[in-house]
Amino acid sequence: MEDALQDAFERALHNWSGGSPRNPRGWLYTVAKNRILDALHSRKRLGEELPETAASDSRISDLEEGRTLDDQLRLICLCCHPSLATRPQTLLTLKLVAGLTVNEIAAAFVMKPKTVGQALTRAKTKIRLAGIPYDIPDEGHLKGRLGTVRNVLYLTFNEGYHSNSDHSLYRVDLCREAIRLARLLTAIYPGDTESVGLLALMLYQHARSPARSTSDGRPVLLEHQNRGLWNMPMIQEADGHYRRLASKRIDHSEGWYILHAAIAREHARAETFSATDWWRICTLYSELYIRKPDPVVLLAWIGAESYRTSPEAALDLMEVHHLEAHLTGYRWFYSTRAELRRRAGRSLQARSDFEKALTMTPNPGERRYLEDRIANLD
Amino acid sequence: MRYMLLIYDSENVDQEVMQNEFPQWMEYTRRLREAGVMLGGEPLEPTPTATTVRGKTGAAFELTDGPYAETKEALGGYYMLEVPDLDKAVEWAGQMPHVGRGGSVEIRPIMEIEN
Repeated sequence: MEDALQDAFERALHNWSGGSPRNPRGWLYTVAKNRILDALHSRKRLGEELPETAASDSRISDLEEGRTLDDQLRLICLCCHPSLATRPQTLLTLKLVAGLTVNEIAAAFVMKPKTVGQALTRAKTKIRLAGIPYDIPDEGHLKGRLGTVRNVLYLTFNEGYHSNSDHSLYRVDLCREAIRLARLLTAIYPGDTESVGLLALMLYQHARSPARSTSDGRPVLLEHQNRGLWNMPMIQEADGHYRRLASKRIDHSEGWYILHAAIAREHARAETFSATDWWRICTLYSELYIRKPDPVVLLAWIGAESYRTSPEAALDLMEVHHLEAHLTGYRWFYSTRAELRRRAGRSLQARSDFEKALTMTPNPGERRYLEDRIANLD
Repeated sequence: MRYMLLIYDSENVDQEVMQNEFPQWMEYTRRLREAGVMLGGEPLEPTPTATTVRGKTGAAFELTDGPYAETKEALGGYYMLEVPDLDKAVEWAGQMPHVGRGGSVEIRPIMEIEN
């Protein structure tokens, strides 16, 4: 399950935590709404193709002309204020910055429109009453705020990328919006390497989308993907961003997203699955783990190790690290271990893991996929 | 905007730590005054001195010895500040001496009643 993992596990690492201002703060419904939302909203978002390169994304160049760019950033900073929890931050960003409607957000997050509306109202009320400033944070606080913004963007991207439902149309849209906003961020702060890393990561991952599932929604493992379907211009754009990072001599250990982008890049540049540089990927995972010793990172690392060494060795590592105890209830643990056990010829054990993963999987396509795996066991 | 900064702290902090910290609180208060942002503020006696009045629908209220709810951290005092926005309030709250050893501050905007 290397693909599902290396694509998916960030999600678990970014767990969800669970009005109109008095003048002169009347901006929320006036300035911001009129200037930005209407401009963004008038386009046919759902039917629109993701521009192949940032240069062809006319909205960014349009924005650079006026003060609107500043307004957008101010709005993003407001939506991602650290005094708001991650969920309201994300909902606000999608509503006010990306310009999605309440119904679109609800469909994308598999929530009731009423719940989304209430959450947005609560968040706006807090912004108004608590006096959250509509300002770009000063130098000292900007770094932290950009971190929050990246978190929200990547959550949005992952929400689109890892479907928990069949609302694929809306979900692809979330990926596009996340990429668009990351482009905006890097256009404003070209020197912010982590944001560039995030953009590269999302582009590498999104480029694989056409090959990631069958027409009936079953996931296709990285190993079996038709690499000819990968979006090459998008990979080239990602490469361009990545090279810019490399030319700045960025220490990989600096950036979480840069490291992730480096891993995604290794997959993107391998012409075939067997040509994958697993040594390099394992090294990158180890750096990631040093930076954030999280069991989900370890799981992905061990998944990569199984190709560098053997599935048996990887299974031993899982035992040594008591990984199951740390990841009870995490379906990708069971589907990963199932694949390792299958490859190691332990069919009976593999079946029990696949079945366990099946009980935890809400997505119909993924369920069909797991049923296929069970049916094909020896 | 006016904000109430409610100071929450464990009530089992070592006596010596508390005494050593006292000058820091004095200094912090002095800086608030100097910056012209302090509207008021007082420390409170600990929760064993508290009395809670609890009403009952259709009956006389009752008195309870102690605070409304037992929690790990108790309200130990407050400051009322006048600052432009939440970020400024957060900045001041983060400088309180007990924050450095794990204490917390709840920031609440004062409700503005418009006439």
